Amino acid sequence: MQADGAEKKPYVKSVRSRIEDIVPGMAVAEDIKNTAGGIIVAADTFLTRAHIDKLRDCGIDRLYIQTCDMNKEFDPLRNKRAVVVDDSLFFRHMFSKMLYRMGMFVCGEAPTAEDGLEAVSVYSPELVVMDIHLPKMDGRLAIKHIHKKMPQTKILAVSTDTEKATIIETFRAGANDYMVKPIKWDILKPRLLKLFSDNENNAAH
Amino acid sequence: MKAEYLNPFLKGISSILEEVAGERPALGRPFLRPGYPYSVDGVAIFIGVTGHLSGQVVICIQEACARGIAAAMLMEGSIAKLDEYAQSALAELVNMIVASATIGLAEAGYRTDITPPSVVTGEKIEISNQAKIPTLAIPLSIMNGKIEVNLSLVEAGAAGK
Repeated sequence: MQADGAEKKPYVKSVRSRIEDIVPGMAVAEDIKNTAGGIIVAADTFLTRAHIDKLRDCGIDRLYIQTCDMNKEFDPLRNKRAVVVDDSLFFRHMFSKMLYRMGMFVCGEAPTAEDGLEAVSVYSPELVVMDIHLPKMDGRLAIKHIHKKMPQTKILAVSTDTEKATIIETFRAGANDYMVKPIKWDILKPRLLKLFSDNENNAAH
Repeated sequence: MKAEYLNPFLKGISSILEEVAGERPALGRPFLRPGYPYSVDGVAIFIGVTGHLSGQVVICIQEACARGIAAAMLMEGSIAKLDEYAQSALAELVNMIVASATIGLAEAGYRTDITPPSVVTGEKIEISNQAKIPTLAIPLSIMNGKIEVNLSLVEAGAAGK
């Protein structure tokens, strides 16, 4: 995941000018780096969904964000990629915003499980956030597919459903955690950190 | 309208609003609406209920208050108008309130399902109901604005519990 230094410089430059075109006045970090097809930017500026979409259209599929308040605490999450699947626009927007704040990059957002599965196969993210009750395919079925294909991918199930049977079934399908909406920053932070610190531990063994 | 329907809603409203808006709403005195149609201003969010109880829940929020709540939910300083994101936030708010109430209803023995919410904005929105189910309105205030929760619910058949 390291940049090849000098060779990549021209690309970095063009990326920087492209970002400045897309997001006028955006503070692009001085030490902008190209890292495996992605870029590092200082994200003091608020990126809207439209900005992110345009960046994706430019072929930038990772955005390594250094937020001002980012501290070592978020190291396990930093630069990890996520796909968020939920039929509520609000939820996708809000959840992505929280993930960005923790240094993760949401490379895909999907309103249905079908679209979610497609985004997951394109991006192979480290994290999938999956709603359970979705319009067509059920979230649990989608979780089963993802877990089978990519057992390393962490799956966070989210729902307003507190039914015990639903929760058990979701964990059986392969979810790593289950959170009940509304999901607040203070609650999400430790749960995500735990999800990824478990991962690091397992990898070490 | 029995207390066992009402209480889960009161609980859901208070806890969800407090969680998303960071402020506990002040509950007013519930009252029975004289009939249909009734008219409201601002934003009206509709959710249908089916199962052991059937009917509709309509939560009406004054425009400025709706913008305040949406801004809090979207983690924005303020919102100038109720755009797609804000409307989606309010729909999600009502979805969470009613979903949380259905948990309480299930504990009381009423199993229910809810439909996805729809959002209507405007002035003098006239709300009617073909089944003419009596509406219990719960007024509450939060963020210097008013919210009204309208419950038009009836036990479905004798199967009830």
